[in-house]
Amino acid sequence: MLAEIGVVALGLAFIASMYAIVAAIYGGRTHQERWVISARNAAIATFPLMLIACLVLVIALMNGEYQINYVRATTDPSTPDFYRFTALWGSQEGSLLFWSSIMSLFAMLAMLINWHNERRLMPYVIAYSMATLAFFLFLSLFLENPFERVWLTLGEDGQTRVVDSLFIPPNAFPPTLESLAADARGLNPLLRHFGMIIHPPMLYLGFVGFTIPFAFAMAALASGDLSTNWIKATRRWTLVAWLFLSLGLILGGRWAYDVLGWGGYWGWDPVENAAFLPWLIGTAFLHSVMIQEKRGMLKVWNMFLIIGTFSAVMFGTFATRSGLIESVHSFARSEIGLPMFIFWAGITLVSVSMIIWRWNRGELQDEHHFAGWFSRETMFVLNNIVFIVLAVAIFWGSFGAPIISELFAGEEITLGTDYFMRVTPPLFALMYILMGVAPISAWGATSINRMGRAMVIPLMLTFLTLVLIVLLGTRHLVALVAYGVVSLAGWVAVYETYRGMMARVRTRHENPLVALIALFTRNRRRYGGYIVHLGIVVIGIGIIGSTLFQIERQGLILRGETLQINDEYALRFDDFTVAQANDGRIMDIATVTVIRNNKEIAQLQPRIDQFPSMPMSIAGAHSTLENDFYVLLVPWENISAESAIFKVYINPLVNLVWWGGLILILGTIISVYPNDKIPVRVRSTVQPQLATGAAWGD
Amino acid sequence: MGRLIIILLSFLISIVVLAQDEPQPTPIVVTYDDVNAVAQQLYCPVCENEPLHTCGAPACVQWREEIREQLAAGRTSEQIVDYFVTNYGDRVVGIPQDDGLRLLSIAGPLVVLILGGLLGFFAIQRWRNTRPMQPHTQHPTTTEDESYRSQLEQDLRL
Repeated sequence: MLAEIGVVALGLAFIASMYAIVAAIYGGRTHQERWVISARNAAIATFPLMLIACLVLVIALMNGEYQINYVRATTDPSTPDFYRFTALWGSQEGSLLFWSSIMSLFAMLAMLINWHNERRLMPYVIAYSMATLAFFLFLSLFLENPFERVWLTLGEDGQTRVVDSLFIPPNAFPPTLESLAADARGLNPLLRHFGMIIHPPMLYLGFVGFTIPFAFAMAALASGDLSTNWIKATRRWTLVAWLFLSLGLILGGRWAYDVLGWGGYWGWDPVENAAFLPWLIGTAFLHSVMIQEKRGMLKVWNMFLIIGTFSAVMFGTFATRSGLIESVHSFARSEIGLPMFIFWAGITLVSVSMIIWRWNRGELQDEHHFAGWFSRETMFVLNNIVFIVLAVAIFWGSFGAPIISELFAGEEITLGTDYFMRVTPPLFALMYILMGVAPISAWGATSINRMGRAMVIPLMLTFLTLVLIVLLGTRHLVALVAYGVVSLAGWVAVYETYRGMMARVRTRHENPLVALIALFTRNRRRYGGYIVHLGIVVIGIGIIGSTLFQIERQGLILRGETLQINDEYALRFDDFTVAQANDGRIMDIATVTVIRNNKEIAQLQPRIDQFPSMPMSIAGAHSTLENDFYVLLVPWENISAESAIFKVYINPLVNLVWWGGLILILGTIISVYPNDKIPVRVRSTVQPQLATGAAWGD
Repeated sequence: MGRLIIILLSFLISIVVLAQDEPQPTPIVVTYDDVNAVAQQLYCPVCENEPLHTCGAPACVQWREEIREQLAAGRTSEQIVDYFVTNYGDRVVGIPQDDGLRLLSIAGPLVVLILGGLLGFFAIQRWRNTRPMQPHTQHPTTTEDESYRSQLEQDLRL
């Protein structure tokens, strides 16, 4: 019964989304508002329907309804309740359902929030957002249905056969509960981690969030309202999507660091890179839209950027789910590979064609021109180029070159860390330099002298920082250059905030704290942005430290003996025990002591969890702001109470990566936070004027 | 008896001399770190983009053992990497060793960078030299915004 409810809810959501597309386009083209309202209602209705479908699957997971294939594939009788719930996005079918549910939620919120202010755009916003939703619902309904069940049928030869089907086939009966439970596979051990529990929803929220600005951009192109309305309407949507995508990437890094057992957080894996691409293009878009808002420029470019971001979202979803990453051949064999490719390519093609159409009609012309090489517009254009080149280089290394090589040279190649560490550092350095210079430049024209004067103090502070770093013992030239570039961007953000605060102190005679709060309250976007910059700077410092100065050592230690890691650190193997966890897995646990300068500073318990499907090495880590002492038990040879192999990583400043992530999130929240409400009297006098401008159609 | 002693002594001396002529090679001690240093340059043949030194797949265990044996036999890191590339293809290294594939890998982003830079340069030059266009007259948004803002500012001043 549960499965039937789920399928019906899913089917109704699909019908509602298809209806919304047709009604919205018809209403928009014929200027019949009742059709548009009907489309809006249908779009809103998709959310409760998707909520029902998700709830049904959650109930099935929680109750161990193992006749549903998805439940059997992602849980087993020993799975704790928490992981039963999170199994909702633990595999392909469930995660697609979850993706669609978030999409329907965002679409509903866009209808509710933007309905009154953006009436002219809304029919097309509905059409584009529902088209995306309908496509994913199609996948869930017809190709990756999470409610499919397992049945037994008796053949003519008297043999029992297993059949997978949504509805009960003729002469079929369900298997016994005992046999179903015995066959249940349980959640992938790699997903049993807090980071992996939150990471996928955050990533989906980020991915799906970018659908809304994309739908608004397309609505602007379709309706002919090519003013900055679509940008103003979507600024917060873009920031929210960017926030969740950033969170998803940071949590993914944390999960890799804790669970994958290689002492790092970013492996330049194609799956990671696929999620990083929309972040890069989306970041370029976030900066670029400011030029259009302030100066009425880069209208075509902004359209390309938001389409690029959405296209990267779709490509990432397609690449990671279709098997493209393993090989172009496995993509061709995948059931959803071809439909996803067609949707991605089709929507990208249609979007680009629409831009070209409007561009040719002369409707996307700039209202101002670039005044100087050192203006903020120029800095943002350069920033955009760096982000796009980074995105292209990462795309090329992850997908482009390997696919071309396999297709045309018949040779499978891997572009790994060696490639990315050669290509990306100069581009990231350029990004940090622009992050340092751009806030000092002004809109319109800025002279080199003015910029130079504004840079004096941040440059001096950067120099002092470098002197301090040298005094602390760092002589590595590349590291000093990298720290210099990154800290310059940080000092500019701090100094610009300080200048703003002092200007208020001087002109309004406020005390510095009040002035600082007022500064953030009056211009959340700018100063929230500076905090985001600071977060990126802190992350950069963490990445430089943990990449250039990582120490790695592996060795066999007899119990009671010590492995010297470097002049400072040593590791002693104290004890070894075997234990069983509540969920049945056997854990090989070593107890080790970390020794620094002959003093015991921590006791850690690295372990190996023996899951039926695979062993997992869980690190023991002693974390401080200075570094992480990260120990793994290595199963290269037999582990016993007498001896074991340990791998030790000392990762300097690695925790700054996580702290920087938190700062970045704080800054984004400040930027997203709504401004003070407009007084009712002003709203009531202004609203009629706005309403008269909201004409229908093209 | 004396003759027997002389024969035995000359036999022993000949053994010692022979032993000196063919010295036993001193075994090379290979540490886990030595194996990892080579394995870091290679990728798992089974798992996608998984470096050899961190992968737990059975094939990787075998490969690491093979690296250990080759290091013990006195082969250099480069020789071992070349051996794996020759036998398993360019997919086992982070950047292909084949000249054509290497060029394809590295030149791609360089070309994009150069094109992007040129495009940006010429775009800014063109923007600087063109006269600004008037805002689209059929969309009176800007003036609406201005009146809205001035009203808002007026209200806030009160």
